[in-house]
Amino acid sequence: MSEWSDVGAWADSAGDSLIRLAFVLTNDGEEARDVVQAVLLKMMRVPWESIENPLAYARRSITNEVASRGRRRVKLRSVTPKLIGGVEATIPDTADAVLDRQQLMQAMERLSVRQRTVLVLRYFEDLDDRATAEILGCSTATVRSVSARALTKLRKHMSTTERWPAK
Amino acid sequence: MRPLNEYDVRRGLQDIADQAPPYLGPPTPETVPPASTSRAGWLLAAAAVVAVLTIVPVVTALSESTDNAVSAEPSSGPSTEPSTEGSSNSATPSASTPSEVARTYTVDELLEVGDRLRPAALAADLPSPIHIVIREDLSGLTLKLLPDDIASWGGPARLVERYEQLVEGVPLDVVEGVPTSPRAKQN
Repeated sequence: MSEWSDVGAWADSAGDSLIRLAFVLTNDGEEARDVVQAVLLKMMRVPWESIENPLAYARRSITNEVASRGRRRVKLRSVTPKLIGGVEATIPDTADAVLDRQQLMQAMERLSVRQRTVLVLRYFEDLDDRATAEILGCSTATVRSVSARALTKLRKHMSTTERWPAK
Repeated sequence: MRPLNEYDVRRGLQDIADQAPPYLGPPTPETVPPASTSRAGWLLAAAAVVAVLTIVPVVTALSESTDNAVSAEPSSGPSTEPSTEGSSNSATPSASTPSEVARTYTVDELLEVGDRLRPAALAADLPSPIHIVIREDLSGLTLKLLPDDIASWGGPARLVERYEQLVEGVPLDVVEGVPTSPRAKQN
């Protein structure tokens, strides 16, 4: 079992990135916090010395936790303008440089948990095929094929808008 | 218009992540939920039974011996809090407390610590003591654990350190014990 202080000290520096990963996978703030807390608890119950790479361990645990919660679909909320100080805030996206978040969220909603996880690990966590395969417990070929299918699905969905036409 | 590419996905996911709530800190031992409600319920019930079976007779015996010691021999008996029920002693802690004992507790205090110790140990994945015994001098608790549990934690000192974190520094010692009931053996 790990010392509380070991995991706590590590989580102080890694906590935000863990929450971000969980949030991208679940798109639910409370759910993301729950997932990360559950993962940290698991890490506290194994000897800290046995965790060779805490970040890799946490990533794997987070993806497993999200999958085990049986979320077949991402609980995506529609993006509504946030009210900051009573004034409707706008996000200054530059037209072609920044992907429209709302469209992407809706498209991600249509992916399976596995497809979504692959995209998140590859394009959000910036992991290569091998590291992604290790986390998911599959081959690199599977990662590539799942990723390709997921991107195709994303493009197909987003081509319904004029902004992101299918190739 | 260009098609969606990997860069767009990367940027889009980063944008989504920017909406994530802040990290609020790791779970603490006090907030650790039980692994399973039903399992925890059974374990707590078992722990409560064992605690009652082990602590109550000891406390009864200790109460009697303390009363006797205080009334018969105030200068050599263990010190007690002035408000302890049933003891009309006039001994002061400074006069009767042995120098090696930092402080003494009331029986109620130690009972309360014993009650808190088992669930806290379970929550922290520490082995649950077979018996919790109040020290004769009321300076703390003696925890009896299975020899295997003690060995797997690298000895009593390591366990004492962990348990004391759960009970806010109340002095403890760990000794080997033997289960006295089938339920305790299961623990």
